[in-house]
Amino acid sequence: MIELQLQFSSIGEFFQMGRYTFHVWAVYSVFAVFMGYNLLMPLWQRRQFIRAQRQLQRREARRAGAADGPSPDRNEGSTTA
Amino acid sequence: MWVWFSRLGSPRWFYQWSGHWLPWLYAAMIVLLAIGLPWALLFVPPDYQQGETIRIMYVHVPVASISLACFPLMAVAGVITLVWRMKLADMVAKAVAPVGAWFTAVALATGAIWGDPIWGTWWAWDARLTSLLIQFFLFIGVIALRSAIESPDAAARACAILAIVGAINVPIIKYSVEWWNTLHQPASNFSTEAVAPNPPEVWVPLVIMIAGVYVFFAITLILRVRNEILQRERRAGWVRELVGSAK
Repeated sequence: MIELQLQFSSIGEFFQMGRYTFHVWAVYSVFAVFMGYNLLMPLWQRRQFIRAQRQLQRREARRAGAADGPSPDRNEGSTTA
Repeated sequence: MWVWFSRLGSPRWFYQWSGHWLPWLYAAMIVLLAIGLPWALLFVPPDYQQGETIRIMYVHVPVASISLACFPLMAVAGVITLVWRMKLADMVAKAVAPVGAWFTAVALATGAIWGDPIWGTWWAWDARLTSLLIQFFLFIGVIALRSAIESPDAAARACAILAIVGAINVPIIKYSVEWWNTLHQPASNFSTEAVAPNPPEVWVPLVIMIAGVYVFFAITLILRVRNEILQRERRAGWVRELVGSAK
């Protein structure tokens, strides 16, 4: 049905892309950067979010623990507010 | 149908549902691009006029056509935000704006690189090019508008209205090549009844690349919507649990 025919006889010819080395490879480079950034950036942002939230939760847990009962190092000596 | 509709509007449900589908989307994207890219680069015969620059088409056309889908998507999300106040719709509207800006910018950049050898110029104030540039500025405008308004509800409404009004530009871009006879050629006729039908060696890899880039678009949009859900629902119990159990 569709005849697939390799259009280049050598690796060098492939990289040369006829007279259009720069134009063809510039477009495919732009495409690679575009895809890479848009796939990795959201995942990186998600990691940052989880890290920040976990820190926040730990801080909240510590504060909650301090409110429940006197913690040894912070509330020493102060029995009344 | 309505149960499905209201369930889809629940950010938590969308988060779990999309998490289930993401691995399949990654797999589909990898398969489609692993077929499409080598085919476009190695097996498509050089064009009798354009030579090897025909290979640029397999990036430029998918990216440009999807960039045209972003604005209508944002406008539809805007309508849903205004009419039904669905939270998820506004999250999609917010997430699609930078994606649309990226696709439009890459369509303009790859088009310029293609234009240099074929038209002899990187840029011209041609109808298609100019209207696409306006679309890029509209996306930037929507992003800027949202960050300029402090109240999230007011920002959502303002962005929805700008998205709906700005969508008027989309048919202008689409039909610019037919309404004004300037530099950019009209879309190719790939039907078999065309005067000079394009051979399948040329259009089959294009269809595969369009499908692959569409899946990529879906993935990057879903990832951004999921981040937006986490951000806005960070006080909810299920997000706190997720944060605690995530690696």
